[in-house]
Amino acid sequence: MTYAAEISRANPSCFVFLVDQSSSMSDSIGGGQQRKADVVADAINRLLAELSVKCAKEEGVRDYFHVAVIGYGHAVGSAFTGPLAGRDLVPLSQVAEKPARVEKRTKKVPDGAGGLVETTTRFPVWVDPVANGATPMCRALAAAESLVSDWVSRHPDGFPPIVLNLTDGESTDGDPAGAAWGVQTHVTADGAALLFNLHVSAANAVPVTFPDTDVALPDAYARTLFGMSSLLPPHMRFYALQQGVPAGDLARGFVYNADITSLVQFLDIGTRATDLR
Amino acid sequence: MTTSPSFTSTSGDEPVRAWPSGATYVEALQDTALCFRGTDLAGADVRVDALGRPRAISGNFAGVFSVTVADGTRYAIKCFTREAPEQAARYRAVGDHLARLDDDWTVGFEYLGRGILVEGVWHPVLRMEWVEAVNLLRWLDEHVDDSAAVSRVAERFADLVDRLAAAGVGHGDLQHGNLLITADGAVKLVDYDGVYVPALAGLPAAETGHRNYQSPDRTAAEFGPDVDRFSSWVVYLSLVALATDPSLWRQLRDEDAEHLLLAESDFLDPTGSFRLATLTGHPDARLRKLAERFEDILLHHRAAPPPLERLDPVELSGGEVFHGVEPAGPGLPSWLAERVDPHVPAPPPLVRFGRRTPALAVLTWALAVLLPFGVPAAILVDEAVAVADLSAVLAWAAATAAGYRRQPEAVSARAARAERKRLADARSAAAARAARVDQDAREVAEATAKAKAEQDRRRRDLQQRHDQRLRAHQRAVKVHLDQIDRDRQGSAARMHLEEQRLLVRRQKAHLRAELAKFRLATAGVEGVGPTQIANLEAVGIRTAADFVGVRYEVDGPDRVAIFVLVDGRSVSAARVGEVSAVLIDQWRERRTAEVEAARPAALTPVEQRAIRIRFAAERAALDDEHKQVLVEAEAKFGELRAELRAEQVALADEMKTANTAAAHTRVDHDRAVAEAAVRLERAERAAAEGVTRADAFRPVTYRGYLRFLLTGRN
Repeated sequence: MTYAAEISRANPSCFVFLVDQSSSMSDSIGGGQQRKADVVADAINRLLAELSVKCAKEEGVRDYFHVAVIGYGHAVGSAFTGPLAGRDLVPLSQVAEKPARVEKRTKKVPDGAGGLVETTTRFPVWVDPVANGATPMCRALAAAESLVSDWVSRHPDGFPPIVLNLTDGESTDGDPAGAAWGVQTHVTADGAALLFNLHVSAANAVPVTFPDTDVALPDAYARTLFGMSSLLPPHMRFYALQQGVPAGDLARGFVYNADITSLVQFLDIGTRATDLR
Repeated sequence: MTTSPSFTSTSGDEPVRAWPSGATYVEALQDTALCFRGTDLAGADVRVDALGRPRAISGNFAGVFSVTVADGTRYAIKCFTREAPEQAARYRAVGDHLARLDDDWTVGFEYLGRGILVEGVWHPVLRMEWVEAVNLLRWLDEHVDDSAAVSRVAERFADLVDRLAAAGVGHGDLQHGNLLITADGAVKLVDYDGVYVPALAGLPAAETGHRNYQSPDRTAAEFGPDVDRFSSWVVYLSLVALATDPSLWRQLRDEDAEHLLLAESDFLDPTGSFRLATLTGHPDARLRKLAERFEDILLHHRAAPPPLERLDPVELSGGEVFHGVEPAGPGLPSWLAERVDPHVPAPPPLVRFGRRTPALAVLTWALAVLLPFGVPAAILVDEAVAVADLSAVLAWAAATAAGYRRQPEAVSARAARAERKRLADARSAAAARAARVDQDAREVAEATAKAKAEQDRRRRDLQQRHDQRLRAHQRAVKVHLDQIDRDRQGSAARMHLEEQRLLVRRQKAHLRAELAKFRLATAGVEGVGPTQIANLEAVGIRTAADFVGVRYEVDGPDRVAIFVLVDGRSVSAARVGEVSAVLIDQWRERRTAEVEAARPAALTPVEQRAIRIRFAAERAALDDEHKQVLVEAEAKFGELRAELRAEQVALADEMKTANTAAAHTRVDHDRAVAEAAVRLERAERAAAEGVTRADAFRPVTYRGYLRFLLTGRN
């Protein structure tokens, strides 16, 4: 059985986030006011916060994962800002401790009685929005592959690494499919490295989450990204279904103009992957 | 910690929904006035982390937060992140049942259907009393070398298992994280998400527990009072083993591993389990027996294990002294009392001979006195005496040797020395094996590195091949497009040329037509009278258009003017002399210049269109060809890309398969290396103990025995 390995401190896994920082990311997302770069930076920061909470135990955040955030635009390299700047794979406990800053964000939320009320939350920031340069996606995937390859050689028995690529789709340094397959050739005894893609698009199209075919996807970039994405492992499909997200047998780890933070909720830590109920 | 737990539930089941994530709860809990609005937790303090955000303790189904209300009471608030079927009903039933028990392992809780407001939606929470305690793993990390404390926890755990059985309760997820040890050593059981109580009979389990504590055969269908049997064996066996031999904590698990001494892989493959084999082969007989019993359960009763069979409870009244080790303090179970700290034994006292055979002693003395006479007797008296003497000595040697061998001390010494040799051999074998598996692992690593380099090479080759094909394709396309461009240029040039030619024709016609209007007869050229005009007309020259030039030929002393006609013929006119001819030609040239100054500079639009239409078809054909080449090039490019992708996928699949096999081999070898290292460590320790034990028999030798016979002293 694959994708069933225990994720524990003695048997950690790794996350590599790839963030598109090309100049096209300064366009606004489909039908909205927000720039794609802001949406993607927000998604990364939320994912890191989510992962930190998911791995928090009595004594603090445990190193169930090591995390890298690689930006690609005018250069390919670590996208961390603040104390982690320049680092690639960082143990999660250090990630949790060392954001660049904690922003106070004010927003209006429902008060439960039909009204809205303003509330302030602390939002840790590790990655800032950047939109500058070309989209060297092949190089970014190669950088991820190098981290993944090194990781699986050191953890041959662990849960396979997860690479999550956040992009607006158009690679400028060649067909990314080959580099994507390269990432997925690195395996542990528990399965191949997983490559998931989040496509943010300026097109005002219907959001798509974990599709099992590319017929409903609006453009060639989306279809290429879909084709590059790994199948969702069964237990992740199960949790997706549990959260009300339809995910078929051939569902891929691909979302189009939609939220992917829920991915962290699909991870099983310590306990058995449960798809029995 | 309150002393009287309460268990209540205030709401019915909530409908199925998407649950907030851990981070979403963290966000909501930053404003407790809002998220707990209208409840008695409103405005409570939440324990925060270093970033000032609510600090979670996360599980797979929920996050727990520490919340302190105004009066100082501290609660654990459990917020759910995944769907749990019939959650409210289950908690109500569990709460009702536990409230009737008077047990100190329980923790009070209250299920609040309208517990926390997250993004405008109320979600349930479980409000629990806060327990000041650490989980079993952390507790063991700190206390594993305190065998007495570990054994007390083992006993308390066994008591807890008994009480759960007596109450008809199944916890469902007995594991280190749910077993909390308080400062005074009490065991608390938390997390009641998956608890069975009789009122829930017939329902499936809400969870199937931690992988390192559950039978691989367990399914959600198993949900009853027996649900903890397997896990209680796992926990109890581990605790007993650790109390017996704390070094197992380090030897059988990685630092920070999330299991006790056994894990899922041991349950799946008991016969191949190194950890289980270490326990069933342990020098300590009781531990061995308990481990063998569990092995038997794994092999034959994994799906339906029997209840926990705990070792003899306390029977310490005798104060028995075993091998000179003092029994541990009161409260220790007998299985442990015998071997507290067995792994650092004081060197055993030296063993001495205890029983002297009088007959042998007398004989020895007699021989000792008589022996000196043997040689002189042989020389001086008789050889027979010497032979008798020698025989006596031999007989005596045989008798004492037999006597020595019969000594119980000698028997034990032989056994201890044989054991020492056996253990030393075992250590050598373990060392050899460790060296061998190390070598194997190195070879595997080298082979893996080589395979990886080979894979990289193949991928590069594939990419290069593709790039070459792509470049060849692009070159071919370029050659074709260049050709079309040349054809287009040629076509344009031809069209231009044609236009020029036509223009020139038009200009010439215009010139002739205009020049024809200038008649020589009316030109009034000086010296050209009617006679010359008539003579010129006779040779065909009437107007300025009729000739194109004049040349002169010498005819004797005179020069004759020869007119060149439009058709190239040369004629001469009578009576037209050189001077007149020059004037006539000058007239023609002047007229020509006048006409040329007004000649048409371009074709008329009509003429132009006619030409353009003629060339447009040619041009369109070329444009179509150009377009077609581009379309075909794109299609071919797509084909090449699809081909590359297909080849990449095929290669990737092949590499994946190879890498998977390599990973399995790596894992097996890494495990073998780790196990060999532990085996070697244990063999070294056993060998050292064998030496120590054998050393106690140092005085027990044949020589020592003879001295003992003679002197009675060891």
